[in-house]
Amino acid sequence: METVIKTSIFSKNNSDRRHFVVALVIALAIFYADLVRVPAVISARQSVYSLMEPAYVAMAVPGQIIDQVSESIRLGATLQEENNQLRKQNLLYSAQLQRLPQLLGENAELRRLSEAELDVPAAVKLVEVIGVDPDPSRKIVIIRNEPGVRLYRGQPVLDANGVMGRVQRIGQQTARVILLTDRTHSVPVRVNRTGIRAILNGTGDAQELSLQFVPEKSDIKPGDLLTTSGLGNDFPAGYPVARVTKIRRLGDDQFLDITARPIANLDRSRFLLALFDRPASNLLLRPEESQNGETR
Amino acid sequence: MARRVNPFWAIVVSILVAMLFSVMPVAEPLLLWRPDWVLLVVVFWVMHAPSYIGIWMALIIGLLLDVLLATPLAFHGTAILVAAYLASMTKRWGGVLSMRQSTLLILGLVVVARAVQYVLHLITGLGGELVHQLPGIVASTLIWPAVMLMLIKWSQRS
Repeated sequence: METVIKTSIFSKNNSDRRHFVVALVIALAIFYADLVRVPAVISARQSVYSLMEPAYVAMAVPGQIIDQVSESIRLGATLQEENNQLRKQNLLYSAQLQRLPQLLGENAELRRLSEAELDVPAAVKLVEVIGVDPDPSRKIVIIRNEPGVRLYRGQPVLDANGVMGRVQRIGQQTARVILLTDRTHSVPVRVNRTGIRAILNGTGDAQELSLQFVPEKSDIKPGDLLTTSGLGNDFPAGYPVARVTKIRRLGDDQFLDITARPIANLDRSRFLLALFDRPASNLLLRPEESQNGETR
Repeated sequence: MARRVNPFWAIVVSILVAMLFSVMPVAEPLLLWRPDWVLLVVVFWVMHAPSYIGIWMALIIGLLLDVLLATPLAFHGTAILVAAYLASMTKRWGGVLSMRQSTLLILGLVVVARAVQYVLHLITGLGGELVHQLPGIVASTLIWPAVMLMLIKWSQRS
């Protein structure tokens, strides 16, 4: 009996091994095809994703219930406090808002003077965060994609404070937003105070961004605000992104080693704003990429 | 165990639940500790219901997981395929595996699967830190007995 079992393990059906080898080759072929973005594979993935994304919607439900319950049993005092705070904030905002028409007028005037392109007021749509990418090495949030909202790939996403990231992938009911802090994300910025341009890269760390290609002798100091530069036909110009936290001079490098902290609440904001302010030339520059598809 | 329960629905439900667990939101510090739910469940069925879940099903389930997690296609697929094949090689003497032995086996499979993923990650140019793999490996191994006890009722092995 012993020997029978032994032989059946080691002379083990060659057919099993053959199946495995074939399956492995197919798996690696699919991996390669996805890596080089074979269109058929990408569209297949897209349609299968539409079938599977209810998983994200479903998993968001328990959190929402907990939120609602804790909201409803919150103590009166906290509510009162929050109310007061909101009232103050509201006042502040309405004061700021009063200046808006004047600024708009001034802006239009200036633009006419500089013959710049027509300024269309940016439209925003509120979108809800319903999940986070389970892979901790990526910084991606999943948002609900309402039927009426026509998100597009590469679309800037903001929260109340500043830039969050951009839309990476779009499904039927959900969309994925890659955050500033993801290692593969970068955004062209300028230092608000001096106008120096640079590229702001994510590092994979939730609180740290890295500002690259700032020459060694540049005028930059901790606390400087970085705003989108609008270069690269990517993000519209002027939205706050991050604040410089640390500047280090590396011995023989011609660029400074600068870290910055995002201004948006990347890991806390529940509602985000999808910005419909596509730079006009974006479509012309990358016709095939502006359709749905992959970023990596 | 003379009586065998048809495991079809158990398989379907357990794999769906494993997929849901794979995208379940958890607190930031716990993210690294997420067990490889789908791998564990697939390996269980490969060992305990081989006529239902073989390596081809394992590959398909892995590919579905890739679509769900938006990872490069076949990233989980290849890893689960390899683990499933290794697990299927043990089915002859699987009957005499004790809980402790099978847990050790799982430890090995999870390590192999994650090694495969790590290599694939390097190919895409996104290699992470190896240390970050550790909590997931530990969590997967520790949760295995629970997965096994939960599903053993539908085992097709006598």
